Amino acid sequence: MNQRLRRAARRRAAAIVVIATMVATGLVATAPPVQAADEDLILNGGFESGLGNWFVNNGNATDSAVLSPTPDAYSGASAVLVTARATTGSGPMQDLSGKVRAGQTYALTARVKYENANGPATKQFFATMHYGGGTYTNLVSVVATKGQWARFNGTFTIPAEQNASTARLFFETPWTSTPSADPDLHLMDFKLDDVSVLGAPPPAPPSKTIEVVGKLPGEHNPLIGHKFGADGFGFVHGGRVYMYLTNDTQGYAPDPVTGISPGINYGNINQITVISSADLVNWTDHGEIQVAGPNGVAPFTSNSWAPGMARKVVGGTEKFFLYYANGGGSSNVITGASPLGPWTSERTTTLINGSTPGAEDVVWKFDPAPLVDDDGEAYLYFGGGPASTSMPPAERFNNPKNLRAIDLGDDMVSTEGSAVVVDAPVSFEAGHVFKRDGRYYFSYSSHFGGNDFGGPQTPLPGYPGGGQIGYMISDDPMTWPKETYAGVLFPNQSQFFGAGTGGNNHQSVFEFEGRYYFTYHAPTLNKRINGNTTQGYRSPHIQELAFNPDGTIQQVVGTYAGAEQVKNFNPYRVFEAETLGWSKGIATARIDGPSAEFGASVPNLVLRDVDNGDWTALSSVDFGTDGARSVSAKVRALGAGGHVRVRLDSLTGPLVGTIPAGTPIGEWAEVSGELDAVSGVHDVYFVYEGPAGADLVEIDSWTFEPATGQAELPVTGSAQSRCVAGKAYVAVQARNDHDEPVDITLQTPYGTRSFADVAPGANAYQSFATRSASIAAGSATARATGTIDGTAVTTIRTTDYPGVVCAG
Amino acid sequence: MSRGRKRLAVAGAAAAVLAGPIALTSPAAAAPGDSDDVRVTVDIEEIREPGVLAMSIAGDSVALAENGSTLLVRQFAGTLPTVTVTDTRTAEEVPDGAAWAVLGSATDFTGDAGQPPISAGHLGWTPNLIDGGTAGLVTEGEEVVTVLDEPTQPGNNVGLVDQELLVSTFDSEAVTGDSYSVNANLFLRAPADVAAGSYTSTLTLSLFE
Repeated sequence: MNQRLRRAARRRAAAIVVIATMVATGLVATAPPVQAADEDLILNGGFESGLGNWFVNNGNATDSAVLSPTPDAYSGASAVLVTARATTGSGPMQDLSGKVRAGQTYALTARVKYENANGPATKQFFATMHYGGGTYTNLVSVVATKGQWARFNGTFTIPAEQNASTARLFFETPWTSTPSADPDLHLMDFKLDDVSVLGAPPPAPPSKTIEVVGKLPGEHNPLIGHKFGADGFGFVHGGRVYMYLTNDTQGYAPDPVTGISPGINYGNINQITVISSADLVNWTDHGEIQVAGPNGVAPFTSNSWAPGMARKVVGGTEKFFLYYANGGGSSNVITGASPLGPWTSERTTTLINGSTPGAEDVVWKFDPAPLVDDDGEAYLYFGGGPASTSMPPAERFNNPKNLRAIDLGDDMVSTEGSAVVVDAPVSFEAGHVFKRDGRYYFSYSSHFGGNDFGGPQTPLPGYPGGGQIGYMISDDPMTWPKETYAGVLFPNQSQFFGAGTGGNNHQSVFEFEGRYYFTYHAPTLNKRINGNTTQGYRSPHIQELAFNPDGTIQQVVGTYAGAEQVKNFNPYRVFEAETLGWSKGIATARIDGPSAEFGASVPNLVLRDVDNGDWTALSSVDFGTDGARSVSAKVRALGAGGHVRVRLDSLTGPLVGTIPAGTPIGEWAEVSGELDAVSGVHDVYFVYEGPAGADLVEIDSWTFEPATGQAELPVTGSAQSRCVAGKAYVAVQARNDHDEPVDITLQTPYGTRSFADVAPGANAYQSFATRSASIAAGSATARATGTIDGTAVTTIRTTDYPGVVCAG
Repeated sequence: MSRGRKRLAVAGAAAAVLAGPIALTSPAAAAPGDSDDVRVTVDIEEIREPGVLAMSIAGDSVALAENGSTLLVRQFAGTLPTVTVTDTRTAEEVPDGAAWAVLGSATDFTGDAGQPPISAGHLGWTPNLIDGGTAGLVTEGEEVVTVLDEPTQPGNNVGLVDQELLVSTFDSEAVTGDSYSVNANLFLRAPADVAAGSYTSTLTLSLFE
């Protein structure tokens, strides 16, 4: 806040030299004008990635054909061959919905060839757009000569009044109602290659980033504040708790003006979100597993809700099994090499479905929850939904018998025998079993009554009300008579979190570091965004679970405070930047490449949509008694002037360091900042600052360097703000006083420059152009790398520069 | 060590004003008839003109030749003639805190046959330090890329529209009494549909302190 401004003296121009540069003559005019900003909107237009992004036109049920890759390409190694065409519209299609816009003009090129001996000598082909329903428009045509590649080459303009929200491009032959009358003329096979549609790039989709603080500093629920996640299943492995979540964020689409999203549509969800933590407060976002849908791990399923996770060594190989609901009709499982994948499907059909013995009366064959017992035997609990109408109304209400237990095969991806009834009172869904002291605890969610459950009824004494979590205790994982009912474990979450947080729930229990924890969900983040009128987007919560001496469970109280932090956070390692105790205004996104913390075979995420004033924070970081001397980050600058302020204990707490984030644009680089006297346990706030209105940086990982154990290179630095010709520059210098050469990298918010082998006594220097007439005060870093007594040493020096206003 | 050193100020100049002490030997006792010589000597110090900070350039034009064009972008490249900054001032003559810098900007490329101009934003450069001394306190500016490029340093895809840094020093006083040289790779990047013809731009280099 003590921004010092300096008005620089006007400098004189000492000399001017004028030279002329000249372009050689001989430019050759080229044909169609194409704006440099245009881009090709077609994916895999050359079919070099097989049939990816292409499918057969399915605008009419009769438009069938077969697409296959062919090496007979116009260019490259592959094209597509279209065979078994049923109509003139039968041809390869690509969905351009959301990419093309009404009123815009596009340039289309493609190559087409047909060869059948009985075909005509020439044939016209069309590139056609299907705008949904019965609306088709021929865009560009070409007359091909048999056996030769013909070139589509033309432009088309989508009429301003055309609704282009659905826009699907395909290639066809001219329409006739009865093509089968002369298939050689109308239904010939053809080949297509090098499809291109050049035009203005599509507008960026509206932001889904949550800009409010969804998890308040000091609180531990909801677990994360930057995305949603429901039906959490807690799973412990390798000292971490993994939470597998239904990806409620998938269909979240806040209106850019009102900030209100349409209500949740479970049918949109075919991904599972994974987060993990070693302390139950700082959660790492591992992104989404594309489980279902055409590009999913199990493409024969279309939804992935309500995950369940188990580990088992099968055939000598440790495997991780992720069970999920394929909508309400069936359940399935995919297999992971680790809790974070990579994932494969061992099945080609669903695991639980209408042919599962003993589940015939279960309407919703979903919510699968696995249990691997101490003896290696594994069980799956599943089911829910309306009670069988064969029972009297009161029984349908109180004992709907809609939940099941079944033995899993040794391979964990098959079932054995017949499912048995779990006779849970007032049961609705969300069965789950954990084991404690030799006894099995089955918990579940209760129904809300209504005609599916016998109409208006009075529940039996002690039975759950609507939308509560009840539980049962049994000595046998496959024996669950109604007498094992033990009470209500958790009332409806709205009792604790108020208006707008009602609705269904889904729970799990896990043991971690000697304590038991209860997971549930509540639309608390949705409530913080939109107030008491929520749209059904749910967030994961955890509370500690306490038991009575007789083994019964003390009813859980839902709180924003949540569970206590299990252990302090260790900063002296490379850890993912998407490790969040608390956050504001950021998003996460997957990028290519390995995860620095979790390895090469699992997804790597980064912080994205980082704007001025956004922040992320870590809870209870233990810097030890000797403390930290510097902090480094792997970042990618998106503009000039960005830096990260490191503060302790609150957003306005002591400023202990600054990391300038001016890496070469588009390139990932390590940047660093020196820290002032940071020791002991603190919450750490990374506060992002820079020009308003633009994304500043992406951040992959952090690491803190301890103050102990390492000599420092004798490197000194300085930084100045300068005015030259009315523009501000940040001049940074670092001097090597070591007796050997060192490498020095100078980092500022306006650029980064590396110098190799700076000689003893020599300097690294650069004046970084800001291209602004004024700049705010900031920090520059010199990062020196060399050797002391043969040991590699990196020393960070941060120096401040003042703000400056350069009079023109 | 003195490879690039040129003490241009020592060159004798016609208008020099002589100045300096006249030294006499001390008076001596002398008998009549003796004759004593009086030796008259003078030490004349070399005249010191005030030193100067100056810039020269080894050419006044460069023709860009097509090199590295793609389907979307036509590129024309060339090399900026070597620019030399010479500072003959003594350390005392350099104002405290001064730091010199050479900046360059270009005009739009105008066609010789009425074709539309190519804006200066399409001309970029990569400065290249030829002789920066040994102290590491003279450094060439960062690359400036064109409006057709993605930035390679924050905000540097602007071309040579405004004055951009070619070379500078952190501290004039620390590097005076020497000369430094730099050139640059120039590149003009134009859309593929740029009109054929001959174009000219003027690139102005200015030395500031």
